[in-house]
Amino acid sequence: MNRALQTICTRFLTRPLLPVSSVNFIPCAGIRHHKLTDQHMRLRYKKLHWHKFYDDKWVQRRGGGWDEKLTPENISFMQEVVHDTYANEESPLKDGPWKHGEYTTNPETIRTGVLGLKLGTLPQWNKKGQKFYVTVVQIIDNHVINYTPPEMINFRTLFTTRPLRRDLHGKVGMLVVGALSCDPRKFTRAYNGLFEQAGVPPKRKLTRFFVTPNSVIKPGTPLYATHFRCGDYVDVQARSIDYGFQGVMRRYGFRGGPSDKYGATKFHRKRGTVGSGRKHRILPGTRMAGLMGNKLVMMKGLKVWRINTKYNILYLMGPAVPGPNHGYMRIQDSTLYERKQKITNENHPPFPTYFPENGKVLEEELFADDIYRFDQPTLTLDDVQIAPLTSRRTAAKTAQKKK
Amino acid sequence: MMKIRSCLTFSRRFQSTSSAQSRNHLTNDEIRAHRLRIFNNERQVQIERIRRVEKIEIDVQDPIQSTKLLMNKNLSTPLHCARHLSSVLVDRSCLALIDDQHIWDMNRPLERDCTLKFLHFMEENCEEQNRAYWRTCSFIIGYILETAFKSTYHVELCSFPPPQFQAGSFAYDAQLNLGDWKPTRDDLRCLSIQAYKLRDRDLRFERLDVTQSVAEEMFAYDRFKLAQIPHMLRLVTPTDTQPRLSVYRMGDCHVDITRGPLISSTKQIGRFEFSAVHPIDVPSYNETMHRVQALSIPAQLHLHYWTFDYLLERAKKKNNASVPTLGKAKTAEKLE
Repeated sequence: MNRALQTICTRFLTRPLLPVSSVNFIPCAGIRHHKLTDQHMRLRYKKLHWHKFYDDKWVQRRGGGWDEKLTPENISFMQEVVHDTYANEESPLKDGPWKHGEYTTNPETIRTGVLGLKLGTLPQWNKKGQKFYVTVVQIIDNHVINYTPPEMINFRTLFTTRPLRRDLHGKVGMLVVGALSCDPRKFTRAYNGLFEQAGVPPKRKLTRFFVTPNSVIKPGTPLYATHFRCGDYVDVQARSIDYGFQGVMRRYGFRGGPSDKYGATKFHRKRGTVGSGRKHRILPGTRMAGLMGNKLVMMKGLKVWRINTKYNILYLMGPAVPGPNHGYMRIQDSTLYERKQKITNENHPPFPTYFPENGKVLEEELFADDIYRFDQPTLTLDDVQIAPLTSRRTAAKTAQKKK
Repeated sequence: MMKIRSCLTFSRRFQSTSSAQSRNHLTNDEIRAHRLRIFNNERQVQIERIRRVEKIEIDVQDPIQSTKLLMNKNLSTPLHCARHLSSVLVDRSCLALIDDQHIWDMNRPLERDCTLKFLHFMEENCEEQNRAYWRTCSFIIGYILETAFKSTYHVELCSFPPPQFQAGSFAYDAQLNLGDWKPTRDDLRCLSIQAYKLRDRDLRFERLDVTQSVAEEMFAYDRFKLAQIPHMLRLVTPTDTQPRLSVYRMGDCHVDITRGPLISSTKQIGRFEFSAVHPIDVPSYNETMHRVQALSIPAQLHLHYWTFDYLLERAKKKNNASVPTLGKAKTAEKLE
């Protein structure tokens, strides 16, 4: 490659990002000679959004929290006032509920996701008797706060922690979902103002979901765990556990060096060599010690085994869902090809979300088909067909019998 | 100053002891300047009466430090005593307690040997301080009503009811001469901003005891105040020969009649929000006036905006405190 162009390319790859914060804008798009492979894109993405977790245009959230020095009677009175302000569940908005859209598979439909809180792990058993672990996630106090139609969104300068699919640009609207209602005195006036339109108490955590216009939900609607069905597959996105500054053995699983027993001098947990003998530089992306964890991780295709409707809990497959306990996670319908095939116009999850009907009370626990239920009678041998004991047939004899 | 004719007719509908001069040709600013001029003259006269500076011994009893101070009689105020001690006392004290009995203004000269205690807003028992604070805030509403409107409109202040916390707000009754003016949220916001500007100016409240003649000269252009003066006169000190009226001046801006003690300075105002304007019927003066209501808390009390907004909702309701009445001379209690 031309020497001058090579220098320019490396400079573009390693210098800090320009003020435009969208990943879709490629700074060196003008220079087309250098093919940006997947790995290069991933490296750049990792470098560019590593430190910034939020958009500068968001409002200041935390406020209050000082000792107001009220008398004990006044303190309990104000707590009652806070409770009563948001006590009634009916929406204060004058106009009626929005029309529900139709679920379509051909122009694909994307439903909202839900904001959950990871609680911990539990063992479960399937009907074959195999044990597996599930993560218990609570969909705590979820409400839809806001909807922006696709015409109002500037997709070029959109700040997302994960880039939005290029073919969805201009076609999806943005729903803001909040979790965990809180005392308004813990937040600033600007933050509390975000919830006035929806008429819900201010939430501690907000997140965005990009949805197709037919699956819009009116702001102020609550979202429950029954937004998913048992047996559905979900994608979970959460910030992984922060391990801090870790060495190369912990971070990438390098083998390190021998212990002191074999006389190794100052080489136990190091990286070793950082490059080849001839190339007089360290390649970008060389794995070294550094900050580990605390980054958004997406885990795809987790099965929903159980749902508890009383506490809005999902039991998701696997103990390795990212994040520590009491960490927030975004839960959406799975985008895996095989799982999407199973969803049809007739058989789809509650669309646009689950709305509780008057008079219809759900059971407290809902189970997937293949989970083993301890409250049901155990599987007995009467249910199982046992073939009569015979001698082993050879292939020739089987062929003879078939004729 | 340009003298603009008032477009409303002026008619006297009640009996008054002395005649109020016609104010058709004067703006609110000019009338205010006239009052201030008379106040300054009277104050100068009273200061010159002190021929000789006598010393008095003040025993300051403060939980932080207790000392004995030698101050000037009829010249030194509790604020001067606080300045000798600490800036914390200067900033936070709103009232002084003389001999554990009498509530005293911070800017009122001390007259004899006594024990002195400073009162602030975050004590256990601050009933008096709170009442003085809301009284001061009513006083401030009067100033804002006189200065906030354009010079084409004449505002005639009447009086304000004594501070009652049950009512949820403090108020000032005035004849706004604006017809059916319903203030919008932004209008009330603009009025509140005037109060915050006062806080930044840090104005002191000074008291003056004047005789009836001086008072009538001072309020020559205020017909409501003139009617009230005979009812407000009382003997201030035992040695006084003639009954006097207590008049307060804020910085060098505003003068008004009020009996009770006011706080030390406008710096101690925290949040101040005008909540509502309600029409009231005043049978004593045979007129329909406006009651301008507001809510305020001192700067020492640091409330979250949400709690204050909740109190403000209550303050928007009509304040049912007593309407201005011209009762008998001895038992009149409409101003405090």
